[in-house]
Amino acid sequence: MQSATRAKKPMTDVRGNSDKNGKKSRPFRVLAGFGSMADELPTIDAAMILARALEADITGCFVEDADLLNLAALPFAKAIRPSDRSVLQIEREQMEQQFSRAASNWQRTLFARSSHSSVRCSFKIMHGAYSTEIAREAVASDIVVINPLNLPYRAPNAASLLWHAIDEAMGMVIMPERSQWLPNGPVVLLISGSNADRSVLTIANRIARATGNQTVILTTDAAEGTRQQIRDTAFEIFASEADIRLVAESRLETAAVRIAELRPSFVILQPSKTSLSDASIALLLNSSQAPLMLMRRG
Amino acid sequence: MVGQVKEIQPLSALTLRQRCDPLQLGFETTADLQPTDRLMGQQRAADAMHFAVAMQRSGYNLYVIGERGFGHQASVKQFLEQVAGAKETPDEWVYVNNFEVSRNPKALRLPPGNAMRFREAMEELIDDLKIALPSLFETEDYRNRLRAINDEAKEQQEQAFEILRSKAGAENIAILRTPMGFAFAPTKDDKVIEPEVFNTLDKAERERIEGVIETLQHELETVLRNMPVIEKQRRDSTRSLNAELASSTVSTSVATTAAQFEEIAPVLDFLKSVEADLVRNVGLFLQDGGDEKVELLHRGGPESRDPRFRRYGVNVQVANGDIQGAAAVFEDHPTLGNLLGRVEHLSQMGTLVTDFMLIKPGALHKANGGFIVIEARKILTEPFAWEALKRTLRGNSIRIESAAEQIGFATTVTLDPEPVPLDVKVVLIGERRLYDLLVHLDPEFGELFKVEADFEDRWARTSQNEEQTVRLFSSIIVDEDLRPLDAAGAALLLEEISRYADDAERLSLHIGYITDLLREADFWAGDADRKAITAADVERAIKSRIGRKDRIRQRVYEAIDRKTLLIDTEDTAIGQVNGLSVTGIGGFMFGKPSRITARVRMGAGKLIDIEREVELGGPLHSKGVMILTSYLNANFALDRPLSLWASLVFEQSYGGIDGDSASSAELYALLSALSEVPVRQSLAVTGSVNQLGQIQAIGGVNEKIEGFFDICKMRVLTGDQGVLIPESNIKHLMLRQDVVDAVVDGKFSVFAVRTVEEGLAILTGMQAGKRDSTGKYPADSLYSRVELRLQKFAEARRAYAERNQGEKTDD
Repeated sequence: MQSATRAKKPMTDVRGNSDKNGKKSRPFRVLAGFGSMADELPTIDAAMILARALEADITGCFVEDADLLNLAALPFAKAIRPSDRSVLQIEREQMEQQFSRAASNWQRTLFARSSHSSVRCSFKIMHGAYSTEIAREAVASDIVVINPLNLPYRAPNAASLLWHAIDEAMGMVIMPERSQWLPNGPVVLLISGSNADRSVLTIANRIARATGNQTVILTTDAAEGTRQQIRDTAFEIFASEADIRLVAESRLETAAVRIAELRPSFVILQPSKTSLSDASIALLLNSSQAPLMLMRRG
Repeated sequence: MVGQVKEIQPLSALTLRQRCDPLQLGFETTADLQPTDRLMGQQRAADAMHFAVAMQRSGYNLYVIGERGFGHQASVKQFLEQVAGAKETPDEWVYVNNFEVSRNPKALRLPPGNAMRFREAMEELIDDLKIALPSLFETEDYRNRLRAINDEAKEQQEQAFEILRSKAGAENIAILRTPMGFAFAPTKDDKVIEPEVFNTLDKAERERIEGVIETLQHELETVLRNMPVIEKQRRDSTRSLNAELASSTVSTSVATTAAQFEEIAPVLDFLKSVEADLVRNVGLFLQDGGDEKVELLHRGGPESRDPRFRRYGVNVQVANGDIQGAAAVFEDHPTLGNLLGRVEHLSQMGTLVTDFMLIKPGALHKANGGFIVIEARKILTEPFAWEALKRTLRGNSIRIESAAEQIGFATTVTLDPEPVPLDVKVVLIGERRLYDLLVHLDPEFGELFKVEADFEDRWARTSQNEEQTVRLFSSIIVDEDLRPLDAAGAALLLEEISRYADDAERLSLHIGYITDLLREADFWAGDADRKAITAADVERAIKSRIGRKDRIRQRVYEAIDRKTLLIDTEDTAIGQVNGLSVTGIGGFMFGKPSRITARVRMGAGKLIDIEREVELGGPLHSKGVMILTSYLNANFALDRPLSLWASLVFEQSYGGIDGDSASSAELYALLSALSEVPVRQSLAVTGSVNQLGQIQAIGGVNEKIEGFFDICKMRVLTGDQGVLIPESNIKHLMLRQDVVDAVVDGKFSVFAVRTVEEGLAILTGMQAGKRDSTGKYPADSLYSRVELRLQKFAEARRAYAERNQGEKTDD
């Protein structure tokens, strides 16, 4: 079994494209986290879109969950299948085979997709806890794509847990659970309260261009002056390349309803450390049924 | 001289062609005339048709007997359109979805003018709801209630898990998701205990943990068992919420539609089921059309509407809103599908699919309440169509049937639409032969087609009928948009159709032929830049028709002229007579002379018909020859056996011969051979003979006379030439003008004879003779010579028998 190899963190800033030695490097990396529980095709698709939009490489990380392996090694380990409630005996060897099959399947799919998109990619197999290992791999310039279904512990705030656990990355894309996601709708940028970074507007613009979609900007709790500022910045960045719709919604709940109506391909949000609750993340994911991209400030 | 027959004079030119005087017609052109009914001269058929359409009982359908080309179809069409136009406009029919059993679409009957209105009203209803319903479901109130239902379900699920998780957590047990399902594992510091650590625990602790996990597993099974129940409750609650929200709007909209059809109970009933279905399937209005799984291909017309709402469509089968009266439908291609309608299918992703909107009406649907006209030959040759029509008439309802189903070839889902009650008169048009066959071979035919309309093919040539017929010309000219016909042209056309009828005292009612002649005469009138059709144009049309068809006749006449076919038209010969026959090629008839010869010798009373021996003679011809034997026996073998062997032959005949019109010619040849009296070759003979020696009428008399005339004319008309015809055929004479002219000029003659004796007198110049009181023929008569010859044969035969006693003397 392969173990994780910790990558050396490159010296790049969010918008920069060279290290201190002046060597040309890519500004972003897309880190796609894979596990054995989720259907990772949407994860791969989202990673590909982001890689194209941000001109980034992809690193795929498959995490062999240590807790599941430990469980499988216990003599009384059994699983209950939800569909028919049948009880299955679990064995360690069987679990390892599951991991091996899943890893090779997602690796093959990732490489196949990347070869069509001319995106460079690599693939790693790691051992440990899903969130811990992805967090360990992530660096500041990473956009991490993860699926909460890969957490073995069933919890309503799984997505939120991941957001808080992986705090090194510049941004995180949380895949919705069990959605029939197709990247056909507009890219929705939700700006809460104050002004948004230019970098987020730029990323939203680039994703929209990569998917051939529009960008819709929604603001909550913003004063008219702030909204005008956002509008001006957006026009400056977007020029005539996108159809910008600035919609003001006073509450997150109503904004979530509006987002659901738009059937977005991505929802992008730049929350402050304290502004986004577990319930808010769950609400946005459930209502939009689209990948939720959370960008860190600063 | 005893027994001498009166000298027969040639017929006068006046009897050879029954003229029509244009002045007596009393008009300048047919533009002055009122058109007439096409059923003119067809009183019997007209009565039958009137009876059939008035008789409102089952089985009184109509069979129109008539040959093709007579124009009966047009006559029937004109009649039925008049009758149908006066009838009440029939109800309309539509097919709609059966929401309970979609395989059996419902047929709705609507008063005239409502079908299209109903379809539009339903489209309007759906269009209104497409706007009204989604907006209902976009309200904050609805979203909140829906979210509450979903949250409640989720909460129930989460709660059940949460209780279990808490319970497990209290025992340091975690619920884990694995690729195989949910599992329980002992934990320490929020991590699953490693197996090595677990094994270090004492046995009691391990057993305790395993026991707890087993209990939790049972509880998890219970939780999982309740999940589908919770999900079903959520779906039911959502459906109830949707129905509650939609029912008021749907009910109001449907009521608005229903108000437009208050008097039409079937529509109101249907709208009730529509309302229930709309409420039940309100989700259709909340989806994107592109997500529809069963999406029929977009096509023109109503089918091109959003496929999600096809279930509320109205498939109009019969719409009579724009017509006054009932329909008279002429189905020219009576296949099963064209008659009864069909259920069409569309190919979708390699599968054939259908629904009630793909039901296509048949001719019977369109004719319902009125009339349908079908050619008998066509329906009888279409697979399954005849049997299906009979079934439909017996059941008085139209049930759509598929030919593929009937032969077990149906390989896809199809429909069984509700049958439509049928009230129609079926009119079959066909030949008499088909009618006879149907009467004899199909026992149901008589029950279903109780009325026959027997069309006449000719009528009496009275001045009144001539006047009527000219009005028929006028009708055809109007219908066909031709130039008017002048009086001289009309007179010539009357003469032509009299000739076409083969009878100077009759006029043909072959409307097809008359129409063709008028069209062609109009063409020639146009060619000559005339504003009206004249006699010259009619004559040119007649001659052109003949000219296009008479290539074979020319070849035959050439062969006679070049003496390839041997026909003498002068001098005399013993045992040789010019007979006349008629040949028909492609509907064109022409007369053709044939040399008939007879040879005699002693024998046992046998008359050999060589045509029959080689199977070239038909039964009627053979019958004629046998009659000759009888005639000879009756006249010459009263007291002794007929010791004769004679043979008769149509020389250079290479095809079949039938009919008895040459029997008189054969008798003349035989009597000439027996009497050794020569026969004039400048004459040709036609007519059948009976046992009493009477000459009987034959067919094609005009063509026969003209045939011999043409041969004589090709050589030279000597004035000695002519034709013997039966006296009873005088009334049929409508000879060509050049023949009549030759007769007037004394260059050709037509003799009408009643008896063999009269014919012999003309052909041989010798009286046949009649037996006197002693029973003997006059010594210088032809029959005396015959009798003498036969007597010699008898004596010779007796002598031969005495010489060869015991030997068979028969030939």
